[in-house]
Amino acid sequence: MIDSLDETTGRAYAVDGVIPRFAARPKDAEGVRDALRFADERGLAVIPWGGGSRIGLGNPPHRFDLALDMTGANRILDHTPGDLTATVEAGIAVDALQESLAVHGQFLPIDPPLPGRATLGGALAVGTSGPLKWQYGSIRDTVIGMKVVQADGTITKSGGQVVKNVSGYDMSRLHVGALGTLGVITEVSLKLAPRPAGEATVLARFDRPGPCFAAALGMFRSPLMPLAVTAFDARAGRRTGIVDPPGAWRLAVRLGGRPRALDRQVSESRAIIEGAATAGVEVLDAGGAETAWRALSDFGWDEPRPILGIRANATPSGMPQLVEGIKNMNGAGGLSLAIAAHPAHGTALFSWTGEDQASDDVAGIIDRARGLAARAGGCLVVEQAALAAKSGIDVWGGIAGPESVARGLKREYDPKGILNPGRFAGRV
Amino acid sequence: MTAVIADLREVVAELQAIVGAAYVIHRPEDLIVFEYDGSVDKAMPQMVALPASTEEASRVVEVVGRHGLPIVARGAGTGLSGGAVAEEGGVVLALTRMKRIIEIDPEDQVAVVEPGVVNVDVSAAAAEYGLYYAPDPSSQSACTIGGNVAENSGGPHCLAYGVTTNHVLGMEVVLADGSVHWLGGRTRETPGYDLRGIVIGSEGSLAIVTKVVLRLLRQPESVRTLLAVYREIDDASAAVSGIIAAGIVPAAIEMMDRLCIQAVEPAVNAGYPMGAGAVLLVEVDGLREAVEEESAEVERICRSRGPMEIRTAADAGERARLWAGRKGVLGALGRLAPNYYLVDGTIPRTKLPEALARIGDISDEYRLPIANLLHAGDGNLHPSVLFDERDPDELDRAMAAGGEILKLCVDSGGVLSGEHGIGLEKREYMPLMFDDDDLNAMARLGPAFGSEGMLNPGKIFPTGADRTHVSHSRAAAKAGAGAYI
Amino acid sequence: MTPSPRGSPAWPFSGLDAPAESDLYKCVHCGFCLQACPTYVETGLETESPRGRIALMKAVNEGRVGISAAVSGHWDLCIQCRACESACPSGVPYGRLIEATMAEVEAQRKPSPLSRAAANLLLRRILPHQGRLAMAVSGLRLYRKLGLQWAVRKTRVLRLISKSLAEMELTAPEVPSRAFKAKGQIIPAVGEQRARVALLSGCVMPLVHGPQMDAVTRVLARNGCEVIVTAGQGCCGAIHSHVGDLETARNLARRNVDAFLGEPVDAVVVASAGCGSRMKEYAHLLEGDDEYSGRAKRLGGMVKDVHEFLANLSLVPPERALPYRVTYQDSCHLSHAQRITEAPRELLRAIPGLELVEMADSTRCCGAGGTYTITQREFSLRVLRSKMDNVRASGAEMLATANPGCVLQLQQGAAQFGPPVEVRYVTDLLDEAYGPEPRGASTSRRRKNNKRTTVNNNETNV
Repeated sequence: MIDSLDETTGRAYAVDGVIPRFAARPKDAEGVRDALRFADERGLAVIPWGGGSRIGLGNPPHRFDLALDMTGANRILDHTPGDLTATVEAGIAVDALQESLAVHGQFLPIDPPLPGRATLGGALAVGTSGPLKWQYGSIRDTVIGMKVVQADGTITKSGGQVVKNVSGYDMSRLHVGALGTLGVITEVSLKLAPRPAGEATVLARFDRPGPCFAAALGMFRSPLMPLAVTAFDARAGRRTGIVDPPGAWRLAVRLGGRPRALDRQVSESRAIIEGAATAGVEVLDAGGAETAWRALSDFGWDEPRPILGIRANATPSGMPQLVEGIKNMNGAGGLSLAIAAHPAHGTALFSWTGEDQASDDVAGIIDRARGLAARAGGCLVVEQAALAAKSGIDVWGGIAGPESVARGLKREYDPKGILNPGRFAGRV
Repeated sequence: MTAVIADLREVVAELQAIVGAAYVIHRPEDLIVFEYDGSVDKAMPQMVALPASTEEASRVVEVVGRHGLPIVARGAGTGLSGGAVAEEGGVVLALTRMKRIIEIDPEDQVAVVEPGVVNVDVSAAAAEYGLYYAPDPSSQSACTIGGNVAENSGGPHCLAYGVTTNHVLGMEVVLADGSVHWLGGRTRETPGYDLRGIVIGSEGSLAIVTKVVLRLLRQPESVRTLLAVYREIDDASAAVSGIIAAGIVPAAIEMMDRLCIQAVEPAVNAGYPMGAGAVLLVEVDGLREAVEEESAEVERICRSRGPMEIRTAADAGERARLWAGRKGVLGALGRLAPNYYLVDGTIPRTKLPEALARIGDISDEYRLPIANLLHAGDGNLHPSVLFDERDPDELDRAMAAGGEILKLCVDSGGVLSGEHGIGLEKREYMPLMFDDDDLNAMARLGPAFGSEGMLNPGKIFPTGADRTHVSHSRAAAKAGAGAYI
Repeated sequence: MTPSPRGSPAWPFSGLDAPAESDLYKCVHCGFCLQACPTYVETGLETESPRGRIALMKAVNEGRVGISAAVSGHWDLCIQCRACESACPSGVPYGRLIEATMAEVEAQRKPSPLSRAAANLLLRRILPHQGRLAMAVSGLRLYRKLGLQWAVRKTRVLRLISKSLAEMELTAPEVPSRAFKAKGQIIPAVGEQRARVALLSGCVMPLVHGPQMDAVTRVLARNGCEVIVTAGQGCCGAIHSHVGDLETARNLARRNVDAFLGEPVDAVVVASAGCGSRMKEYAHLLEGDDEYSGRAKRLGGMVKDVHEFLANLSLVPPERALPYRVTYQDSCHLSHAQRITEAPRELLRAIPGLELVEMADSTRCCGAGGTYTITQREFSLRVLRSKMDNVRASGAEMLATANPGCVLQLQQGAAQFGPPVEVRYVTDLLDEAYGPEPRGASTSRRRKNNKRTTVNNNETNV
């Protein structure tokens, strides 16, 4: 069922100011197939929409005609607790899925921003998750099978519903992090994890970022197995409800396990933190911990949205230098910067808020930050910026790796260029 | 014909100029040793080149491509699905000389290695920093990292730690046109298509891997290995389900059935009781306290299923002995029958009891004993059909029984291969799992990478031949006694 | 169809000693042996691996390829260390296979009459006879001094003779005045007698390491053994099997069966790992010999490696502290052929003050391999160099091992590549730890030997 949209109804699906003429909200894979066939036959450009929580991520679209709203295909098709696996439709909201899994003491070990709105399919298409990746790895590692509708409407599946499988190419890898440019993820089989028997969060305060990162990396190099370790500055802290003087840094350590193991992890975490010149350390109560981690997962995507949001990657040991470098950059005068980082994973999020800036200034910030990331052996993605600032750049920093293959994939899987045209790395 | 031979001479000369005369193998009597890998399939390549560096590998690929010959990458040749067998001839690119461990970086906990590095050597090199490389295929003392990447290898400890793709951060590759690129790198996230993830497990058909950045893990502070012995295999299966249901993901859960025990115990003396119907080997590792708490829970669950005996390894020696039994099973099957056909498939772990019962039926139906060795924790079955190839009827029945087991896996919601790959061995079974649309989608990766028909052609995709009666029978005629893996 | 190799004569195994199909087809080419093999590790070439060598045996057996020089070259490069057997999950008896294959190669090789005569001279006329071997070694010295080496460089086997004897000379103590001789002598047990054993004297070891053989008898005696150095015994035949001369090997085995079964003893103790493994497998060697097969099996069961024997006997603890940092090189024919790795270490650990440090890959061959060090000189040195690197990394100042070939090879390694470690038999160290003989003399002698190795080596290189 394809709906025609007008200026007003279409605005709800706008991406970077481009308003589509059509929308479809299919109920299942067959519905997705029909919508894509409709688009394919007419050469319409399609942007798959999940919850829209991170829809602005990407280069501005070359064209946009049909909004493919995936939130209608949101069923849990199978959850066999004894197998620790589930198969779900991609339009399910992450929180809704987690709630259902929690009944059986299980969860999907990802924590993307705004999980109440974010769909699983959307989170997979973006390909990045939150602080839990420290322990549980990348979001793509949770996928064991996938059903994808190709640009021409062909429904294809790969992988399976078991945790160990090398039957044919690992096609799901093609679509996780591909921003829906090679096909539309419609069903996903997932590898779940048991919820930790108990949890505790240790929160430490530091006067400077140096010792904060030192403690985080100390954790990385210890026998401890934290679920998440996140460092953040005072401005980021305010979003978690923590009021600190400017210049202060915090380290949140999320620990899980059975009682005795948990006790030991708490005390050894404290020891590592105390060895790194902390200005104070506490253990949060359950409510406080939940609020803090939710805020840290949402960081950068919560309201108010930033003028400029950047995700930078480097090696764990390169993190402190990268964060210091970007923090101390010149030229962001009128803006205030908040930072949250997952040091062992090598990810840092930078969020500039304030009055609208001249796009030249923003472009300058991006340019300098990108230089710093490259020098740290890493890379950088501009996750949020005003249209004007995005227009002159490739928010992904161009194509990493062989360009012929990136373009070859697009040619093979979306020959007419109708899926999210122009929005991915290299503007494919 | 003459023209082809002249051509080959030219290729040999060009390759010799790149890698040195000693490292281009082209005499037929030498090529014989490159016609096999660890599987049953055999085919002679036209020549073998052994580059010593990325630069040499890249030039070899360029030259061979220019002459229109296919390239088959090869590591140690321990693969079990024919991935390194040059079915269509061409040039085998053996990467065994590229075996430098370039770097172990304890700060970022990564290793940078060449593809010819042997799996176990990475952990050996990382040990001085208290680190190790987690994926541990049974052939880990011989197989190479390059081969592991090609097959996305697993191993007993993948239950908790994941398979190769979960441990490779990046790699340097040579594409079919000879160009050299990095996919991923030393950071854990890289924007753009996950080409790294696509190439891993692609059985050498998309790119040649020349360097790999591996994630290292900290060695567990404590390890506990528990042996649970059951009269009936169903009780062992129930114990496995119980452990998973209790929210415990041990480092490994291995299961061996009655036949396995009878084969291995006299050979290895692992201490498995001869009269048992099944033994479970459960290993828990991690923090000392966590290991104590979880292993107590595992023991409680195992006890609740009425075991004949439960034993915990008291020290490293006893642990090694328990594992020696597990590792010795395949070698020892020769005591029960002249040949065995080792099948690899995965089922959802809750289907274990039904699947094992069904395998028992298949055994009856085909009148052949089947020994079951399982990575039970993740549902990865390794049933071995025992037979005597000198009886052609038995051989046919064994192959057919293997096919039945694969069908059973797929019908139970499982898959054709858990860790050995598709290669030549299982390509004709692919339609059991995938329809034409699925296979077409996979087949488009070759053109996207520019490797179609050039890198390891003929693998993975079905040709339409009847696998059961053509390939295995032909191979068996040559292979002689031993394993059909 | 697999293309059949061009132009090779169909020349399958045919002789009496062809590798048994039942052994050959046990190999399922899983590749687990690869990393155990020193020649594979050095080259990275499947052609130089156990699995490759077996594939070639199968190919010959199936008539796909003849025994060309190219094919046999891959077998020749095998050191026969049998490390692959330890690694093999399917129990392929590789040692038996390569021995049988080499016998086929030798039978088909059609060497020149001159080199055959030379091989005969060395293997059949000299090695089996201690006196002649001693004469040959001393004679060789004279002959080298006369500058007549050119005369023996005509053929492979002649070179083999000249060089092998030269090698022995390199590190040999005074010969033959200190040689150890088997003449039926009996060394009484010290203290209460716990066992009565016969000792294999052997061929090379008593000649080049006579004093160390004396040490073996003393150590056995100190452990309550009455030691009989049985008269009528001789070379065990290991070298002959190694190069494919199974006929002579069988004759030698028969002689030893006769000699040793003539004495009522608890065990036949062997101090050389290579000889021990050969003798334990006499039963297979004499399988087809109705008269001897049963007795060969009985003798095989009585043969005990000296370390194995002492460890099982429960060692009389030595009292004298030896403040040495020692690393142990597993002799292949002890660790792989006899699967004995713990006993020698147990003996070393029993020595007070001695620090046993492990080197990497201690079970990897040093490259000695019988005549290998001569016939595959270059390769043997490559393997040796890797070994010495591991010795260096271990930080040991002394290297202990269990076989004369290994001792000679490792002494050469210490001299040529360093580190300048002293190379000793485990039993020699035990003897020193038992005292009371002053050991100063022996240490200085060894040092002198090392120096001479270098000198001689230079000469050889000229």
